[in-house]
Amino acid sequence: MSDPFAQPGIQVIPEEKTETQQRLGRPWKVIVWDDPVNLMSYVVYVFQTLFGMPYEEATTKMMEVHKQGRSIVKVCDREDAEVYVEKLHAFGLQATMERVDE
Amino acid sequence: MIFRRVESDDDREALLEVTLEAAEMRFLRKVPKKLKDIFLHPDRSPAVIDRLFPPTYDDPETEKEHRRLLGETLLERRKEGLECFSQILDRADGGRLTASVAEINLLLQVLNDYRLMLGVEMNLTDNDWSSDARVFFRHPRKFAEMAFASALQEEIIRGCSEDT
Repeated sequence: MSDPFAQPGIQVIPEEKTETQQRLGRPWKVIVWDDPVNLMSYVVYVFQTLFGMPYEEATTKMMEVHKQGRSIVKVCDREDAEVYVEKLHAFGLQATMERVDE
Repeated sequence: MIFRRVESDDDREALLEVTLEAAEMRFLRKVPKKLKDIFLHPDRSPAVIDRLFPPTYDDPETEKEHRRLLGETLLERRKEGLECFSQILDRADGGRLTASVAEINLLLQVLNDYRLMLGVEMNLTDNDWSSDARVFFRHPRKFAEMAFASALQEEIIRGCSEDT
């Protein structure tokens, strides 16, 4: 598809990202860990409240946490992931964040 | 505990009317007092503090830096949350109060902090602790408190889910 804003004689070369830029730009995953005290209904409520998940999806994620010990509840950029983890902690859920593998 | 949706003046946020029984109000009133003591003297209850402020990063160095930057702020926010919790309860008239969903969420958060504190104090590590008689016999009072707090939490969640 031609670029309607292209100027004659000027070729736009896509900027190549350095390894560091690529590493920094990789998304992060927010992980919720199993906990013996938090109620199942509470975890479902928190997932619905923070992530806007429908009840069925929130329940599936909660069961994943309960049975497998952890669940990835969000993949986003680092700043957003930090905010989500902070909010999950405020609700008392055990949550961490880690960079998505290459 | 009874929940009822009420009309807000500006339609911008949902409001809920909550009617608390006397025993529920008595219990909720003491929740912030105990937590406040822990937040004011975090060095006296390190295990509870560790549970209420879990790590964000697996990498120890990144976590250390994160704590350095945000640790105090997070503790201050928790203290402010306790103040708001008490102020919401102070609005109750005859056990009845009106609260926004955000305020109800704050009630849930503080109540859950209390449950987590009890969980640490009872050394709960197994998901089936509630049916383990040994836990009850070791910590009868805390076990009863946990049961009451859990029931309250379930009722609040049910009330929010039905009315929002």
